[in-house]
Amino acid sequence: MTDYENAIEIENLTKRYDGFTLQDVSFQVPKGSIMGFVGQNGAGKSTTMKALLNIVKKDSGNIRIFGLDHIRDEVEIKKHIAVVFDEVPFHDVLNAKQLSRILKSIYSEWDEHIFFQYLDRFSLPVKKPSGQFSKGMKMKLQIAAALSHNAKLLIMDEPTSGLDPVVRSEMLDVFMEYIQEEDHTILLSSHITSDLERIADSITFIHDGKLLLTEYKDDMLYRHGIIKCTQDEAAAFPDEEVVSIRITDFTASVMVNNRNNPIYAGYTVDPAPLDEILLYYVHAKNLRENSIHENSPRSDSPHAGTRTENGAAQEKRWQA
Amino acid sequence: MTGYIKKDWYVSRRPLLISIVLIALMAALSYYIRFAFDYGNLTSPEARANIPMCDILFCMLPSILFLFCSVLATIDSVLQDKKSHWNFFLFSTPISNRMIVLLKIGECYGLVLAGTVLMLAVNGVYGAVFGFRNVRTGCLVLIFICFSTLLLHLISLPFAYRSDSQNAVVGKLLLVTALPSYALLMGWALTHAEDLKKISPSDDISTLMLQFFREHAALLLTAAVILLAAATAIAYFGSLPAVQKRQELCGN
Repeated sequence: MTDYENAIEIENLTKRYDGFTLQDVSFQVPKGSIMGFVGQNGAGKSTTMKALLNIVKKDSGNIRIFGLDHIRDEVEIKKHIAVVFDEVPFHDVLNAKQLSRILKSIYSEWDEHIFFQYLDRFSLPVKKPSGQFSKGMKMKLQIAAALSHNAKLLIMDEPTSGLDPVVRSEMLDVFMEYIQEEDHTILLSSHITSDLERIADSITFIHDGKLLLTEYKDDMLYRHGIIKCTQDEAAAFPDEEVVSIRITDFTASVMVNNRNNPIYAGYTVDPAPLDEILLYYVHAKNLRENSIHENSPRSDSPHAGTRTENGAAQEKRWQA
Repeated sequence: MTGYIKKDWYVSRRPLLISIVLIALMAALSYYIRFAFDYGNLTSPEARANIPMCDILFCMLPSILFLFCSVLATIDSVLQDKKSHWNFFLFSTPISNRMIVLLKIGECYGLVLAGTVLMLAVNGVYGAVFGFRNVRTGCLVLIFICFSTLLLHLISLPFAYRSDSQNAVVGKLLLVTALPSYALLMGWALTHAEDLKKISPSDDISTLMLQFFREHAALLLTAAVILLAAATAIAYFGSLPAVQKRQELCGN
């Protein structure tokens, strides 16, 4: 199980629910890296993570973890996975000491010494029932438990949501320490893009059950830029370079996906932070879907057929 | 694997500990009354005629109490798992659904076995102090009750996995166990009315019960084995789809 390149490989994962479909999602998480998994509420992040764990039964697609099939080798894989849920899954009556005794008998590589070190570091009481903990303390307990059985893959669903900035920062430091081991990998879903900017090596962005973007974070930040210009200037940019255009009454902000292109020499191209990149991509996707709907031959919408010579760029405009 | 059992113990030990305290109190009360028959204000021959019935009741009552508490503890642990999101964690750990159910069934057997040993020990001490004549019958009844407890435990599992409240589980459990048992007993009493008429008020209940068990030992043992196998099968095949459904619910 040591000979694998990607800790997670997902190919064309599809899961259909009534009213929502996770469609053809594919991405890889290289061994030894942190992948930030981003998307709006209901975008399909948790479904993807639960499909990884085989809690959600996929309709189609392939998932390999540590190079093994996630269903056939489920038990073997789960020995080396730690999961942190957004809801703390431990019974309120359990205290940290009891939890340690339980987990010691579940995970063969459970390290009581490390667990109590984390408890000490997080200032968590050992004998107090976890039901009496604050939300932050409960999350710390869950993270301490996840980090104490030498898991090769840490899957975390919104672990820092609801935590104050100090605790969040502390947790991010812990994750950075964990990843120092070369065979440790993290898949981290979060709404807090500043956290991901700080620690993630790559970003996967999912929206409405579809993958919008999966890329190394540095490449993503290097490629994208925001140009502030007039609306007419914005309309002249090559369509394939424009992610989407935010228009106000008089100006436009254009997100371009290749900011080093010489055609922007006369403009100031500001670096785009992660949350802005994601925002522009979401709008681009929504506009594209609306446009497809409006321009469909069967559509009798009064807005149908608004495609102009600058058609595609026009369709990428959204009002701030 | 034992971690899952430890978790159940930590979560559901309260009703079991309460039952042990109550059993201790009952034992103390039974000693108090039994001493009253020998040395206190119940030494008259009329009062002492009740000793056999009292001895048997003293053996039976703690086990009936244990029955209720242990079945409730099992149901409670399954329901608590759902409430506390433990299932999310459970399905992320290295254990198959088949093993989850088998462990639970194993827990039922272990709990009842431990309870039976505890009850026999309590009654053994009682028998050593006051004589084993009636206690032997009491222990026979106790084993019967513990066996019924095991059946109840096993049958309760599929209901516990499918329901959201303890009341719903207990209600369904009573519906499928108490009513058929009552009908069975009534049927037996009606078809054996002549035998029952032969029992006179002066007959020793202890002797009668031992005699009944002895006469029907083969039938009772065969029935016990068949019932146990059936209940285990119900527990396994009834719980497995329910656990899978719980897993799917975790995914929604």
